[in-house]
Amino acid sequence: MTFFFTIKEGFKGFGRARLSTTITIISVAFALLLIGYFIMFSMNINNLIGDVRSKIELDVFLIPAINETDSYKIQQQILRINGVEGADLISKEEAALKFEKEFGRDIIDVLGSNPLPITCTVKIKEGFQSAVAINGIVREIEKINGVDEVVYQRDLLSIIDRYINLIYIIAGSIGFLLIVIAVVLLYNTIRLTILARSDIIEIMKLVGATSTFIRRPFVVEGFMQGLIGALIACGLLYLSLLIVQQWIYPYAVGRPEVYAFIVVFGMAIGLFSSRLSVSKHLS
Amino acid sequence: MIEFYNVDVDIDRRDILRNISFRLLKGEFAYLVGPSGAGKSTVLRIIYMDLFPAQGMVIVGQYSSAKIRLTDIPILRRQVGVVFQDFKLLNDRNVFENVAFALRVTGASSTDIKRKVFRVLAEVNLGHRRNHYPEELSGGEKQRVAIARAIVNNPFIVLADEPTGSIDNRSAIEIMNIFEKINKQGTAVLMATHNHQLIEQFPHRIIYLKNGEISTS
Repeated sequence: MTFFFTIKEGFKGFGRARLSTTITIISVAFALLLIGYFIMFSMNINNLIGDVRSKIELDVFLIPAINETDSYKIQQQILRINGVEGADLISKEEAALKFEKEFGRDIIDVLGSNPLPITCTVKIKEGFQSAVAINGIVREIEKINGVDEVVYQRDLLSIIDRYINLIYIIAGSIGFLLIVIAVVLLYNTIRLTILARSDIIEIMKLVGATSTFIRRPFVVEGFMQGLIGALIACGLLYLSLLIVQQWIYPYAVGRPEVYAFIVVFGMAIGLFSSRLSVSKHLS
Repeated sequence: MIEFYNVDVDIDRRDILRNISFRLLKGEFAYLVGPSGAGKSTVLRIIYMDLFPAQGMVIVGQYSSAKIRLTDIPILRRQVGVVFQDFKLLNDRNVFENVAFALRVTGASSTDIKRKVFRVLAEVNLGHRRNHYPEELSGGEKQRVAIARAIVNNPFIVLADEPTGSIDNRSAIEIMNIFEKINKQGTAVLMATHNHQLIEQFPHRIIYLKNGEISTS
């Protein structure tokens, strides 16, 4: 009986304070949408950086005197280095073909011989793609006998590394700030909803309702407001993602976890804010 | 049943009640009389434990203000009916729901609620108005709904704070007749009022409050 009364009262609350409920739901949706945008933006920036990093390869040029058998040995030594994901050998002939593909002319026709050395293209494991880690790998490779030179996009990596921490710090601060703003905003709007219904709380207290009994319908209401706001935010976020994919950045992604987080966060914030507001009102 | 022992109350460092002592017996009817600001409402608030004495002690039924736990206050309030001058009805619920509300908070079953609400509405002559909303009722009818809500849980006492203050004379007499009837059924009534005409018409014990002190009882 009490359970059904609580649920019924919680839902009725929507109709009783229509304006404040609408304001609360809009505020929830707006705050969660901002958080959603922020997460999506950070995620896509992170993906982009990850993508750039994953494409970074080391070109290890072996000294010209190295023959094929020795180059296999060097390849095995490179593969044993911590952080190396793969190492592909490019023979002198393959290098000449590559040259022809890129420049449109046969290197032997141009120079009379093929001076291109055997090269090993090294792929780096995820987690070792920072400038510091790659420098360590490069130093290890350079120690190997028969290695002439290691070439990679050192400058690009340095730039990414220099700014990535700053980006993470700024993003983290903005995210934290947005969550705090959302909590404060929702707490206050839900509090307004409860203040608008202080008469019912007063009467409930007067006729002997326990604090838990008084709290429950408001918590149900807050939970529902959070859920509806979150669903609206998810809908708008998805729509925004489609627009961005269509018109601005086709590679933009929105993982399901983001939507799940928004829904859970919306429900939690509605529940927490309403519980806190009623408790404060009761005390 | 209700005992005040040397009760002092101050609100915002202002003395509201000073050294109040009196006793209200089971089934008694008494008026709490005095000018505005004398502390009549405060006495009532102390009885339903919305306020606590700074000094002294109040016994209400089996509960003492000095020992009552916060979780027991709702239980006490289910045994004390309260009626106010401004009715304190929920405007978005009809008469039946306003009265039923006092039972719903106790977790009563639907059958029980129906039976009890119909009984009290008949007692205050409002059975025919059960589906109406407060705004469709006269002042006197609103007060009768408030009384029905106050008595639906069979309280041992009804506290009334200026219950006739917002209604016309004819309705006031109707309200007094209902209080008399309730009292005759064994429920004590403590009514704060400064309507001397009604006091003369329905004579009972008078507790006179002035400047936070009892002058006669």
